[in-house]
Amino acid sequence: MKLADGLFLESCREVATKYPGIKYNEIIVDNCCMQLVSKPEQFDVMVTPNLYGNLVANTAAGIAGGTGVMPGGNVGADHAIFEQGASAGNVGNENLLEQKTANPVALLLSSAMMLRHLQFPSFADRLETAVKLVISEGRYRTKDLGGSSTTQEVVDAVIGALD
Amino acid sequence: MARRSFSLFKALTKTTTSFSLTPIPISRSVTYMPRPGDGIPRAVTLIPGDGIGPLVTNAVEQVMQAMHAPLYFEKYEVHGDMNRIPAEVIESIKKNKVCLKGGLRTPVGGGVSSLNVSLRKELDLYASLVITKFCSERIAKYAFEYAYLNNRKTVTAVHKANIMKLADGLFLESCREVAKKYPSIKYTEIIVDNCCMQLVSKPEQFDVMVTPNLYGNLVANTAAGIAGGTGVMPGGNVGADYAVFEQGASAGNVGKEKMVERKKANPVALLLSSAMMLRHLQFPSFADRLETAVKRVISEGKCRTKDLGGDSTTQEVVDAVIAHLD
Repeated sequence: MKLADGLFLESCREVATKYPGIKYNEIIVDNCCMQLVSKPEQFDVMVTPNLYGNLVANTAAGIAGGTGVMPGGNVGADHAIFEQGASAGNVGNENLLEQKTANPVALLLSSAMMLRHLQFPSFADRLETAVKLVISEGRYRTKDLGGSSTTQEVVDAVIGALD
Repeated sequence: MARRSFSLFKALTKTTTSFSLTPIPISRSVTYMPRPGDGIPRAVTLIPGDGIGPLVTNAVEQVMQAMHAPLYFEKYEVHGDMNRIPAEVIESIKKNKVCLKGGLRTPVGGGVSSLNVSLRKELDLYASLVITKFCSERIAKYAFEYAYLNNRKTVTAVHKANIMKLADGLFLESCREVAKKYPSIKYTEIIVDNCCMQLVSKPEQFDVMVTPNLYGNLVANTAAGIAGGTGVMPGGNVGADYAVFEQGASAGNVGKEKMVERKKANPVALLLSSAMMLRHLQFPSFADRLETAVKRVISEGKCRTKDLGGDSTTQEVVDAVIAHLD
């Protein structure tokens, strides 16, 4: 995509010159996907045109635990929208819905990002800590994390872990 | 006075007593999504002041530069023997909304009021010398709001209403009213005399404390003494529009001549105050980095000024903090 992505790269290179303390590199998306699944730790902040962004986000989500745990946010100059970081298709399969076993972690962590955005860091910390506790304890996990809990059970566990 | 409590330093002092090399893990605040343009450097008014003031504010300047923090200082000369704060300084603070202050010498006697006090009045920071219903209400509201937003469990009103029946009585009334609106926060009252005694014997019983200005300074200095001294305690004065950050307690004036000459003042207090300022400016990541670096230097114990039992100079401590920045 010589013209479109060429323009994108030009912009990135220009801005990079203003932040000499931050390392800047470029990677073709095909190679990026391969690198992501073999050596994800080499990446830090990634910036991409929207077309690949969703792809990369879903791949990263898969490595990091699945779409059920990855938070996300969309920020503009005036408004912000917080939602799950990756959706891998659509809004979940029918089964999940009927049995009410969807993983609430992704949206709980997105709401923690939202709390930080609203400048309520203490509440964000409490929420994230509670979620981390529940996950590390391992007793209440939905199917995607290897367990069999319902959404409500995970919610109750998070509330129970709040301090 | 809307001064932040010393709980941060209580956590720090737990490591000072053992002085062993405890590695403090790096934790990233990964979930903070800034708004576009948040990284544009902010202007902050800087008043080095008198005595140790210039020494410790210079320490902050050095560390901010080392961190490439997104702010720059507009420095102004203000001295305690001036008649009033220069108008251009007030203008600068009103424009920037945030100020970092070293300390202004307060003349003893002679009827000249402290410039520190007139600065707070001019900017309408929530300190109040005359207890009115208006001032009591807003400081009480601030105390409870602060406790609520910082997940604190108790607010204690410190007073002397048995003697100052009208003024402190009014103050207590305001506190009680606001307390009703925060049923999940515990509210207690204590007479200042008892409070001082309790502070030195069992300080952990206190959490957030709210007091009229007169006792506030007293309590803050006592708390500072327990928590490690005036050289380590950060502070902030916040109003609806402006905020001034400075050392949390001054125990008298602006430090001894000797400390200034030998350049051995402890920069920790003002460094931690500037970390509070970074949080206020919504740069949490820089605030974390600074606080972590300071904690590491203190727990390592190699670079300590005299008040902490060592013999280092201000510059040595600053260099150590900069070296520990990650």
